[in-house]
Amino acid sequence: MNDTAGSPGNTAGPGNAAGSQDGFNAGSDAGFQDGAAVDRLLRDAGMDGDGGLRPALLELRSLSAGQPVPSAAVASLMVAAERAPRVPAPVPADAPAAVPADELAARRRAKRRITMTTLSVAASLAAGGAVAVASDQGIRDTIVALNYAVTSFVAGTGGESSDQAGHTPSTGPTQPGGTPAVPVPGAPALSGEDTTPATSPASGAASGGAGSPAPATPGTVPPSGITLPDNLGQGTLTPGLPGADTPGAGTPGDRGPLNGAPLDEVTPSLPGQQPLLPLPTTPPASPSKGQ
Amino acid sequence: MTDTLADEDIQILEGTAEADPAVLFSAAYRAYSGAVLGYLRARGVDDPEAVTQDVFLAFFPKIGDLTGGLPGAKSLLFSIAHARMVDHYRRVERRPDFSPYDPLHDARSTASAEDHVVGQNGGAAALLEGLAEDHREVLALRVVADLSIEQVAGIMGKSQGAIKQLHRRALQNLKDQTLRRNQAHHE
Repeated sequence: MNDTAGSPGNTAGPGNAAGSQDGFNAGSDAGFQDGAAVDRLLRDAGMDGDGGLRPALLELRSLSAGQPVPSAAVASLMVAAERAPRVPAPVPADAPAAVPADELAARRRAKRRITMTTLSVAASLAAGGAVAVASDQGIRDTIVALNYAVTSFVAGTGGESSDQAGHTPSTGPTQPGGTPAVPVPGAPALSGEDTTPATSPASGAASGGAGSPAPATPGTVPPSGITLPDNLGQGTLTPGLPGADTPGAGTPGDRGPLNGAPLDEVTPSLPGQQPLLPLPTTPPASPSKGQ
Repeated sequence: MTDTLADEDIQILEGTAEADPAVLFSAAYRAYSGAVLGYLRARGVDDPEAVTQDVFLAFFPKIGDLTGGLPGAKSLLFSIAHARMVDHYRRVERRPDFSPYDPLHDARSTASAEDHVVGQNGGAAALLEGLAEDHREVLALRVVADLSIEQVAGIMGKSQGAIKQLHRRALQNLKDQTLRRNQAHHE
């Protein structure tokens, strides 16, 4: 039914609209329905008797004829016509999800995957950079030297520590907790090697006296170059050592091993550490003839 | 506009509103994409085909929250299309696109078969030229989009009584304008 066939200036009415996809029959149906819709509009506006307006309205309705071709993005969201249900059947709520719903979930999963991949790559790069920095020998040595200097200063060795801080402090593991850096007996005494030859007997004595408190442990080099006697590590000290009568031996209260004090009464040391002996300022004198 | 295929789409929209969003989306596209395109053409939006696709892309995420079945889907679609149209004219106001007017190349007199086949529909859209903004909008929504008074009131933000009055005045103005053009054409 061509309602617009006779209308002037309307060579192609909706009944014969080119936009009709299903051919003439569908176009006719569409035209009929358009005409009915226009009549309803005019009736609602109280202008249903006005014949002059109807063609204009039908021409306006022709703008909506046809279906535009969906873009790629829109088509990806649609279900193919052949897969769409023709007969409206009740779909149970627990029906398995169709492919398009899975596509949406797959897109979400892909986005999450990309985010996780980016985060993991960034974390790996950060960890690798941290490992590279930590494995740098120079940085490690610097940290050890700094620790040595701080602990020596805290232990109260004063200037002696400052002299020793310049040496390579690779003397092995240091005590944790900021305790005085007393090297473990038997540890390589690299600092001892750099000092005067007088310390080598002390090193030998220290290694020989495993069961007794070593008077001079490796690494604790007297900066003043005082040579310790070999018999210190063997416990042969007796009261009244010449050091007690020697000028400059200090006050009677300084009962170090050279001043007659047993080795046990030397300067108290931290548990587990070798006792630190107070070093005399003067070289030991020879045994007195009277004994 | 509605054919046998659209009837099935309508049934899909009515019956499976809580099921597969892609099925609902497909049915909505088949049922209303032509009306959305016609509305955007009637309002003179640039590249109405592309904007129609944008409207449906904006519509898809909201399918899950859709209520009201078929009328609800239609209202939502044209609400989005109306917003796109408003955005278009705001952009035009801020950045007007100047083009020289040549009356010899102005084909807006009467609709020709050639124009209709090519898809320009310059005559149909030109019917609304010269009308007030509100009149053009109400006619585009009522006539081209085939929306009810209630739906148009919701989109335009007016009462139903105001829309009825606006619709009546718009039809009267359209009638007067059409008569003037026909008289000028005959002369």
